[in-house]
Amino acid sequence: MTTRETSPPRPGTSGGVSVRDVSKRYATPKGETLTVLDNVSLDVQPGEFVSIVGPSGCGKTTLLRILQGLEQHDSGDVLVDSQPPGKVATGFVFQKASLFPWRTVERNVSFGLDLTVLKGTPNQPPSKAERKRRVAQLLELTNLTEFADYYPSQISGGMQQRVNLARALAIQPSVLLMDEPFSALDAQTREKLQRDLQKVVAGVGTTTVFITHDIREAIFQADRVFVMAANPGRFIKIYEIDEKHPRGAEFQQSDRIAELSREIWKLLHVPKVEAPAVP
Amino acid sequence: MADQLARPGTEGGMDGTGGSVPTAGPRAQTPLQATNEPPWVAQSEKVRRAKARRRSLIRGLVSVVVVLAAWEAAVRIFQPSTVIIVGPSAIPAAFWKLAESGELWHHFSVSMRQFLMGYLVAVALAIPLGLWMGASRRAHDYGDPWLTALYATPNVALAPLFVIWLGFGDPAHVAIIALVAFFPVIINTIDGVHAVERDLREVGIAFRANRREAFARIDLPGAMPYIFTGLRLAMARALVGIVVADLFGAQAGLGYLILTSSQLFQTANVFVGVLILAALGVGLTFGLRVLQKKLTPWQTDVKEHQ
Repeated sequence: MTTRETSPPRPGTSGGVSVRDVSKRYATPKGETLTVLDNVSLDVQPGEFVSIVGPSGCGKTTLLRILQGLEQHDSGDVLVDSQPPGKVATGFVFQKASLFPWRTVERNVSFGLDLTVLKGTPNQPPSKAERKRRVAQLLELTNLTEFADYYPSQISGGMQQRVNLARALAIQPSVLLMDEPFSALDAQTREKLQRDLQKVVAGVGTTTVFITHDIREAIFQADRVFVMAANPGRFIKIYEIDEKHPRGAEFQQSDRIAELSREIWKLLHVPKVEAPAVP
Repeated sequence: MADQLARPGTEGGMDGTGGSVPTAGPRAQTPLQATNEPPWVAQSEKVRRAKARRRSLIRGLVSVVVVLAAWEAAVRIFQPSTVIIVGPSAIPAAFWKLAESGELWHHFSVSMRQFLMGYLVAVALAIPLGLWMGASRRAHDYGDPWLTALYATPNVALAPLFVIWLGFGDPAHVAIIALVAFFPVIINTIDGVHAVERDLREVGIAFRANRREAFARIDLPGAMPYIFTGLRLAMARALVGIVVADLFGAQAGLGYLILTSSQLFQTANVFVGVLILAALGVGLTFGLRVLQKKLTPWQTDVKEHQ
């Protein structure tokens, strides 16, 4: 990742996220009700980076999908940039890179930019040349310029995730939602991409909600870490991480992260007090 | 001794001079970070593949030459009646004779006209219908019983019906060819749309692509490799359709040529007709592969669905 100061122009201001007493239940195949989210509340300030960390199955992905408008909540209020979910352009970075195999890197990044839904909004530059320039800027920012004409099958997993990120940022979303984007990568690539993300997001300044089950990663990225517990899914603690962006390898390897991550780990591994379920 | 540290493959201590060579030697050259490794294939790998391809080609040629030679030899040794079989050497002569009189061109052009019309009608109907049935649950529910029933029926059995409805001319031939070519295309197109990953559809939803955009930018390109498989299978079946249609009444055509030649015991002419059909099949398959490479440069191989 280059250190040059070529960030895409900011789309006015980034919006905040407000989640009030949101609940979500599913019916299990056995006919029982599973409470995935139980009266969850969360406020993200414009420009803030929030991580949500928790064990698998705690409902963090469900919360993210509700913010994106991919799923409906049963009760409570959700506002994304002061609008109901699905109304404003939000960028979604998927767990799997999910790139279109028939589009080159460049055309994958531009996918969202050409869609009619953005027509006439500040998210979509009206002229083709401007759109092309924005895509070029993002490729530069994610260090993909020389791979613009490659197909996804021709690049590594780490690069695919960078394309995934660039694709989400291309529409200059007011909120960026990331669903465990680095979980499928090997440790080294993951740490590098975590630093890359710091540079990119610090440069763009987009409000970001970042889901992960990797505690260190959650701390490294975020202004605030929300710790989530499962059954039912709820927040149990919030940590503020007072450290300037962009954060680098030094912070990544610091004792502060190590200590805090131990603390959160303990929090997530409290032995269960409730009686064992009767079969 | 340092030799005890040497790992298999390092071979540092064997010549007596390099006994103390650090074991890291050959490993140090492997880059640790794989992220920025250029994705192109190593040159030596390309050369190896080219060699393997050439070897395959030579083996194929050897196979053809050996079988033709054996056929020719058998005919010369046993000298069966030319009514039963002729040697491969007799076929070019028959070909020239038929070609010179213009008779062959006549049969060929009639068949090609029917083939092209039938094939294009089939493709023009099957791809849009297949995309629709693949993308819409409702369309699939309404269409599937007909598709299953008609696909299970040997299509050839319907050929006499077309002759009753459309007479002995071109329309019946075109209809028969279109019918047999229709099914592989529509079935593979439906499969292709279904095979588009759910994740990719979700990207479309997340970016709020509208229905038309999702269809044109996700379903259609995603189904392309399957559609091409369908086109290849349909092409082979359409060639069969040419012959079958001629069997139910024709005044000209490659099937007609084969049929009448066999009735007149002109065995060499039968072979001429058969070989032209075979060459057509090979040529058209090749052409479709070239077209596929052009239209779907991101992928070349996909498993065949019958």
